[in-house]
Amino acid sequence: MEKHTNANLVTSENDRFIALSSKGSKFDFQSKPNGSFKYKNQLFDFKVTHAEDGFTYIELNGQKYAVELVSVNQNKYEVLINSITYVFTVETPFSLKRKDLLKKQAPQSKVESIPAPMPGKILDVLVEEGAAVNEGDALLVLEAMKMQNEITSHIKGKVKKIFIKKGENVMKDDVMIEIERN
Amino acid sequence: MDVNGKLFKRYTSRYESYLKQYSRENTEKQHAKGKLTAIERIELLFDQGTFEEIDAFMTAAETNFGKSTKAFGDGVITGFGNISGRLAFVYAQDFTVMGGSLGAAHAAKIIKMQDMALKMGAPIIGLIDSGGARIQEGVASLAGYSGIFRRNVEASGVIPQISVIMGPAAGGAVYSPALTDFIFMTAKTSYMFVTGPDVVKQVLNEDVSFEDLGGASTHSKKSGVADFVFEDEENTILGLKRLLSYFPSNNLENPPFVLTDDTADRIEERLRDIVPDDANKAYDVRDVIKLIVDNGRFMEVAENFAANIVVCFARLAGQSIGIIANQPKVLAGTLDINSSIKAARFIRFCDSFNIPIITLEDVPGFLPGIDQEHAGIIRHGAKLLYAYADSTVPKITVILRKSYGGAYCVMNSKNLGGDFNFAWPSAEIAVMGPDGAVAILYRKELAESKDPAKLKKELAAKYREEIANPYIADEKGYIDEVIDPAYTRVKLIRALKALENKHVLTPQRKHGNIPL
Repeated sequence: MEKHTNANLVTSENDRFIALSSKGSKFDFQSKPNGSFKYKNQLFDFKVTHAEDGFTYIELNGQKYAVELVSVNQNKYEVLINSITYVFTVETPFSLKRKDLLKKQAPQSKVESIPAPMPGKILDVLVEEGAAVNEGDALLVLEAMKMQNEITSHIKGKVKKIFIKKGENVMKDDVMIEIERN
Repeated sequence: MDVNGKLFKRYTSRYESYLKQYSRENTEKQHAKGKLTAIERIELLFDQGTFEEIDAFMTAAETNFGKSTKAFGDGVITGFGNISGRLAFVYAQDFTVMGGSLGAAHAAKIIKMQDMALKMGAPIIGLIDSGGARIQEGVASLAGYSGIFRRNVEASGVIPQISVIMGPAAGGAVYSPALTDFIFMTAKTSYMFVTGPDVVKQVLNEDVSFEDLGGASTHSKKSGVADFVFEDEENTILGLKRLLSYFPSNNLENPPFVLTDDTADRIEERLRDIVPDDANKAYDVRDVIKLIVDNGRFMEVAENFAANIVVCFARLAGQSIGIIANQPKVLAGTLDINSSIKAARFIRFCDSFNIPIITLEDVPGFLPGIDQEHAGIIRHGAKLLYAYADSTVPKITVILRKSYGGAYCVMNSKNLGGDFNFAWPSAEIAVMGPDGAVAILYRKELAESKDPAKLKKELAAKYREEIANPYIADEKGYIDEVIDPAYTRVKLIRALKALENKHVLTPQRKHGNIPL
């Protein structure tokens, strides 16, 4: 007997996935069992090869592209194709729905403060108030335990306020910089 | 249903009413919270069509107080199936039935799975989405929890046990996950706490949100309770399946071998330039890991907690390994309380399940400080020491750069039981760093010098040249070989091959007394 047939399972759609680019555009794909996929009602054949020269090539409908997988973190991919970087997440119809749902429910706080992870001395401040920063951008260099540590922004936004100066000492958890999310 | 002229009326009608439970309405209720239903989670977890449900028709015990449920299954779906072709047992709590609360029948079903998984030597996975103990059932539900806990402990180190928190887990419910090997949480829709925000408010008059008190971000960054956090449920389950691929099904098996196209004799010249010449400059040790392991793929455990130590699973020539690496990028890679506990627990897991341990060492020492000493770094650091010394799986260390003082001893040094101890030419092995050593050894000379800064620099350079290098340790046999960083992968694979049949006899005892 076919189990749970009347359940409204999201898994019934598990051949559909969506690439959500960092700029917010969506690309809807339908994967086919033989490794090809459908995009905008067009069927694409594709093959991945690792060549001797160390590059990876994607063959798409006979066309060859050199690609480099820069990073993969969970479902977030950073891919380099023809020297252009593409950052995107791979979503399922449900995970996308969930994303929208949770965004509506809990608006994130606008200002994020960056506290000192350990006591130390500020060697250099690399940003100015008002500067736009991306996720992963270095904000300042903190020397602690005789080591230089680059403190990076974990969100994209604008530097709202800088509380520290070059050469100053900070204690653990002292707020060093505030960043306004955008 | 009519089979061979016999009527299976009761069989069919019972099944039909069971299916009615999975109504569109209940499904939509879960979906509206951004959560999947228990059965949807199970469908995602197991290979298509392999899940077999057990005890689907069990119902709740009768109570005279408050609401009761006549729902089949009593709020938990239990069974077994294949995950990537291998047997695994599961219990998935169903929030749509009595809030997934745990009553006597519910507990009995989970316990049956635990007993079966242990007998069959297969992993057990708990998909947790439960309001906690069912109040109306009173002590029976508490007894249920106790039975689950006992079996968690019984199965510990015999079969992998993994808890996946996909909704609330409150009160006693948090301790079963805490006893298992790894905890997954789904961001924003899962919570774990012993006492909820309401009780905190009543008792301490403190206002705290669910997310701040026990959300996935709190547990992955501050408490270290959650080992893995994923953004949504589909990825949480994918992550769980990936983690399982590194493990054997039980402690008598070896981890599965995975065929790789990455060659065993790959020479990686980029490793020669990864450690900066300036000893005070940091680098990301994960870049080193990436260049060594098969296809640069590894799975990091608790990446946001105690990030000064990186622990991860990876493969070398298809063989599962556990890596422990000091992270110079965070807290200079020092060992502190949290990193000691994190690494110690990881080692215990690897040792239980025959996963060889590779240590990549760049550690300036233990983190100094009043709060560390007062919070018991001695006690907690000893856990790491104990875990390393007590483990009998193949153990290999590569010293990348700093290896000073007590931290040298702790990080799987030769005399603590390292099977193979390698060092890169950039290694500095000594009792303490150049600056500290010079200040003690030449205190008088430095005090009398006209230019102490210059003298200190000269003496430090001399110290580095004569003492803080890998060659003295190599000549005395504390290091087996100083290796070219580019050949690290090759050397590790050969060493692992040599250790394939490593066997250690341990003395008879009930159990050791790990400094818990």
